[in-house]
Amino acid sequence: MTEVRLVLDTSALLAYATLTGVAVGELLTVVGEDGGTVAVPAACVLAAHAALDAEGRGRLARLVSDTDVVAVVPLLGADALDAARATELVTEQVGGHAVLEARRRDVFLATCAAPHARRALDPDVVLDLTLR
Amino acid sequence: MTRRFSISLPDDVAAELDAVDNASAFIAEAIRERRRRESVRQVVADAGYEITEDGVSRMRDAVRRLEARRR
Repeated sequence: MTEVRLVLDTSALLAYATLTGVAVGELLTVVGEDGGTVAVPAACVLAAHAALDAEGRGRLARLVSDTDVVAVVPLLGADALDAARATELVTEQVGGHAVLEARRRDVFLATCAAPHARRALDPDVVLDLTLR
Repeated sequence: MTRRFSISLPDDVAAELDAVDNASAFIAEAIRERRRRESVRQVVADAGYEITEDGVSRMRDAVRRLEARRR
């Protein structure tokens, strides 16, 4: 995996998979051109998958499988409680696992639920994808 | 496994290879990078998005601004 540039949260995955997230597509293109990697927390994949219809699930599946610009990062047992507590703060729209990964990797979080993300992260590490 | 190629390059590109120790590795890396770039564009296009260069440029600016604030 090349350098992780940012983390996508559940809201960004849902926007992408429901064709309302052109900003996500643009962001992926930027990272791909710069040679970096986008980290997608496994717990966010689960949450997004559960909320999508078959077509959306297909887009999500191809996103996390068909390009190595995107890397699904695991939630380890030791982090499960921390992720759960962070989810209480930022809601399922963001996902606590996304918060943990952004902090751990010291990268920014790309989200379509910025107000929620800012409950747990400094505004300077939150990329609001709704502002394009 | 490797295969040997005989290729022709324009002078400006060939000049880049003159400056590296391992031209094969340099070319292999360049091809892998191009494959990465094309793969993500293809995935996004197949999903149904039309990504414009203007949109990519604006997003790159937004990313740069955010990264600059964090330094």
